[in-house]
Formats: sequence, C-alpha cells, structure tokens
Amino acid sequence: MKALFQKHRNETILASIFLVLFVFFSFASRNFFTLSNVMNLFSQMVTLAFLTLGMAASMFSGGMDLSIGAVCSMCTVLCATFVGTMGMHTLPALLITLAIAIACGLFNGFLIGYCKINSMLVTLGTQSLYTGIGLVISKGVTVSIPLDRFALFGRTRLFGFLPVEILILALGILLAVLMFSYLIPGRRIFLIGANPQVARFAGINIASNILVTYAFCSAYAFFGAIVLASRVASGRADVAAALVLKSVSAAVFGGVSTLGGIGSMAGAILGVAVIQIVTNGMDMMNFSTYLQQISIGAMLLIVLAFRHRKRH
Amino acid sequence: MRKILREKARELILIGVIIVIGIIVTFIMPAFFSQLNIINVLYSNAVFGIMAMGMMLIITTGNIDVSVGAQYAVSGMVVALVARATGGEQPLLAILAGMGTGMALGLMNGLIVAKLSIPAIVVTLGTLNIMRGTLNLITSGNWIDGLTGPFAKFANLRLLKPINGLGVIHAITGGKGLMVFALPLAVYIWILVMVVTYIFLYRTGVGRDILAVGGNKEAARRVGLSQTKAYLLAFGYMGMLAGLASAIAASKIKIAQPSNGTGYEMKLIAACVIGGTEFSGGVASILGTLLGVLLLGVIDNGLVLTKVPAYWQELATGVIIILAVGSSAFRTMKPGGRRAIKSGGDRK
Repeated sequence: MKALFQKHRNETILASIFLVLFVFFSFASRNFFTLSNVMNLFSQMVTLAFLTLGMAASMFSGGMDLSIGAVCSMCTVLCATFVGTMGMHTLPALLITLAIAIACGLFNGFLIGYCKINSMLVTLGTQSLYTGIGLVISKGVTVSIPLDRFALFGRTRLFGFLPVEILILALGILLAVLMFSYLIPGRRIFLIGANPQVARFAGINIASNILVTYAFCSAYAFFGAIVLASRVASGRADVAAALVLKSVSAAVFGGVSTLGGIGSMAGAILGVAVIQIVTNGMDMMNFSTYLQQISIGAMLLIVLAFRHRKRH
Repeated sequence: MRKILREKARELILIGVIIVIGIIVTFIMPAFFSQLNIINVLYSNAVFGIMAMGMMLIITTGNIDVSVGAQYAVSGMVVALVARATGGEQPLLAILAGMGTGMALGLMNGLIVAKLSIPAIVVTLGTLNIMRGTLNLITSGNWIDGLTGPFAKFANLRLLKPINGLGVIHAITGGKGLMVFALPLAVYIWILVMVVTYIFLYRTGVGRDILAVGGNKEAARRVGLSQTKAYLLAFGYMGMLAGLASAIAASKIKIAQPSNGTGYEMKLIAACVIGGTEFSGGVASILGTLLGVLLLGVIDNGLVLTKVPAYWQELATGVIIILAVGSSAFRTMKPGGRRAIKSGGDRK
C-alpha cells in the first residue's frame, strides 16, 4: 500500500486536492453539491480533457502538439457541414471526420518524425493550416446543426441524469491510461521522450512511433470535437483555439513535463479535474471569471515552484 | 559574393518570395504597387515588427514567451491611462510609462524562468493568465477611449516632407512626390528598434553573452556567463518593446482595451520562425525576422486587395510557415546541406 502510494505520489496529491476542493465548495456554495451540478462539472470538462490527454501524449514523446485546438475546431466544422449542411447520416459523417483528423495527425507526425523538424514549429504551422481549412470550409461563419440531429454526444442524458459524454470520456481515459501505462507502444513513446538516444539504441523506430503519437493526439482532438459540436449544435473554425494553452496548463499541472518522458495520463486528467472544479466552484460562488483566471495562473506557478524545489 | 549567397540563402529566398507575391498581386490589382499602399503595409506592421525583435531575442536564448499579448494589453492600458490623464499633451511620458510597465512584466517573467529553471513556456502560461485576469478584474473589461491631442497623432506623424519638385519625380508619382522619407513616425521607430537590436546583439558584450547562453547553456556557464542576466535582459527587452508597440497601437486606433493582443504570441513566433530563428537557441537573424513580418504582412494586404475572402489568410500563413520550416530541415538533411555549406565557405 505504502509503496503504491509512493509510486503514484503526484496523482495522490492531485486527487487529495480535488477532494479537499470538492468538500470545500460543497460547504461554501449551496448549489454545488447537487446531482445536476456534479454532472455538469464533469460534462463541462470533456472537450478540455480530451485535448489534454492528446497534449499529454505529445509531451510524453518530448514534443508539443499546438495544432490539436485547430484539429478539434476543424472537426466541429466538418461534423456540422456533413450533418447539418449536407444532411449526411451521423455514422458516415463521423467516420470521414475521424479519417481526416487522423490524416492531419499523420501529416504532423510525418513532418516531426521523418523530416525531423521541431514539433512546436511544425504544429505552429499546421495549426494555421488546419484553422485555415476549417475557415475555408465554413466560409468564416458558424455552421449550425439542426437541433433534432447529432444530439447523442453532448445533449443526451442516460436514465435522465447521466450525460453520454461522460461515458465517452471515461472510455477515452481508460484507453489512454491503458496505452501509456501498461502497453508497449505507449511505453516506447515515453522512452523516446525521456532519451531518444537510448531509445534508438534499444532498437525502437523513433519516426514511426512519433507518427503514432501525433495520430493519437488528433484522434483525441476529434473525440473532443464531436462532444463540443453536439453540445453547442454547431461548428466554428476557432471554437477550440483557446483550449490549446489551457490543455498545456492542465497537463503541466497534472505533472507532465514539457521536456518529455515524465508524467502520466492519470495525472493529466486529474490536472484537468482540479482546474475544472476551481472554475465551476468559483462560478457557483459567484466569483468573476477573471478571478478564476488569476487563481489558475497562480496555482500553476505555485505547484511548479513546489515541484521544482522537491527535485533539487 | 558566393559566400554571402550561401549564408543569407534564407533571407534571399524570402525576398524573392515577397517580390513574386508582390508581382502577382500587382497584376491583379495595380494599386498594390503604389507608394501609398507600400507605406500602409509598413505602417500597419510596425507594431508586430517591433515586438518580433523582442520575441527573436527570447527565442535566441532558447526560451519562448507566450505572455507577450498580455504584456501588450497591460502596458497599452497604462499608456492610455497616462495619455488620457495628461489630455494627450505628453506623448513621451505615456510611451515611457508603457515601456516601463512592459519591462517590469518582462523582468518578472525572466526572473521566474531563471531562478526556478522551469521551462519558459509554462512560466509564461501562468503569468499570462495572471496578467490578463488581473487586468480584466481591474478594468472590468472596459475600454479606455477618447485619446486626443499630440499623443493620438504621434504614430502617424510625418516628420519629413515628400521629395518633389524635380520633373522626373513629379512625373512618376503623379505630383504626389516621392514619399520614401516621409514615412510615419511608427515606421521610423521600427527601424530604430531594429538598429538598436542589431547593435545590442552583435556589438555589445552582453548581447554576445545572450547568443552564447542560447547557443550552449553549459559552455556559457563554464566560462562564467550569467544565465540569469541573459534571461533578464531578453525578457525585459521583450516587455519594453511590447510596451512601446502598445503605445504606437494606442496612438493609431485611439483606444485601448483589455483584450488587446490576444493571439499575438503565435503570430510573432511564426514571423521569427519564418525568418530563420531556431528554437534550439543561439541563432538570430534580424533581417530574417523583418522579412518574416513583411511576408505575413504582404500576404494579408495582398489578399485584401485582390478581394480574396479573409478566411484564406490563415491557410496561406500556415502553408508559408510549413514551407519555411520544411525548407530549412530539407537543407540540413540532404547531403551537401548546411554542414557542407559551412566547410564550403571555409574553402572559398
């Protein structure tokens, strides 16, 4: 038990912070600890959570995928265009969108892995490119989806209380944790991030693993996108742009190192959860959104300074 | 001559691309190649051009600053406050107030990055939220407008008169005069900033130190160069320039709002990257950064003039960035690439 505690020290601390905040807000605000708000709390974080999982994957490999926000936005536009404007059935629309998202990820991975260009440079460029494609498809306006369609992923509650998107996220988390903590492909990506030289000597094909990593990032951006598009019943080419830096903050907050090879998917998701509970709880207590912004920034710096002191 | 060609290959290619785009746009819309429009491109990109010099310096030290937009917004509000309080009579005071504010914010970033040795992108993410949040909290998101007097005029001030009188010039310019020297003051400030950056980076000891720290942290530490000093200088300089740029912007549009500068960081990083600044640090090109800013500016302007819908702009920017980073990777990868260029230069 104690060994387990030591090994997952960072996750335990984050989970305790989450619980403490949860109890605190439950006492501080009358509306916080209600079934509908707790469900809200989780369903609000779904898109950011998916993007953070993708961002964490790219950070494990020693890079950073700045284009996930653009891929996510582009996917909302594609879904909205296919389902809303063209009237396609949901399933083919989703499959085509997923294929395009993965193609975007493979393009990133190709430039980073095979052409050996710095990941931030590549994704800075493809971020503009994918946003541009989204803008051109949507002609720069919001594409709406008829309200009676595409409601499954963001506007449906099972048994009257459980939002479907929470189940999708749970599945996504499970898959990510499994891949990056227990399966060989994920562990390879960690090794590449920790020490590419050693990884190469161990006979790992770096380029093809990088390709997989960035395809994973874009696929997760796609899952974030379908929930987002369904929730707001529309698609817009810059709808997730602001989430990129937020997902970096959340991943770093959750213990993922920007230098690669350190962190865990469980930590990343706990990072999102803590940030989300602060946002939601302060909303419930009627604090201004600006104060939330300040507290999140301050929390990030304090936690980092604290961790840094530990390491030395 | 061949050595210059090799060393400045990227800059030459960029000039070529800008000229080609210029020719194409001029064919479709002759108004592009008019004095008025060229000055307009320079005038509207002065704010970015000035800030790009600071961003270049930070990337040169191997760091990155994503809080520039917030620094720009905070110092812009301070500038507007001072300008309004003095009725716009003291433009210099307002500019200095903005530069001071920006520099303080930049130094704060630099200090945290150097002392805690946390990656700069994470530190500036945190300070970005704190700066913007605090600014919004204090202003409740309200604008400051009604900027008047000399302050509202300084950015577009034409100190010199267009050259006219000679028959030839009169004929070419249709009586308007050659406006090469009659540029808006903002453009002169931009040029001045570039010259100062050049002197600072290549002709002073501390500038050399910044390049050295960026190029090889460990080696720089062993020869006794202070990393803290280099970081403080780079981040402080960035903040100061963000303040200066925000003053110019406030004078141009006569308004300052807390949401100013959102998304500037990516555009600035893009300009530096197109210009050949390397993320690994130690490599800077002032001419390249200038051309990066101009290329993005010319694309914007050209698309507007040729009446291409604005949403194509983003796509074009993306393609340009990918081509720019791809081409430099291609040159290092292929045999006879960058390494061969260096030895070739030695052989002469």
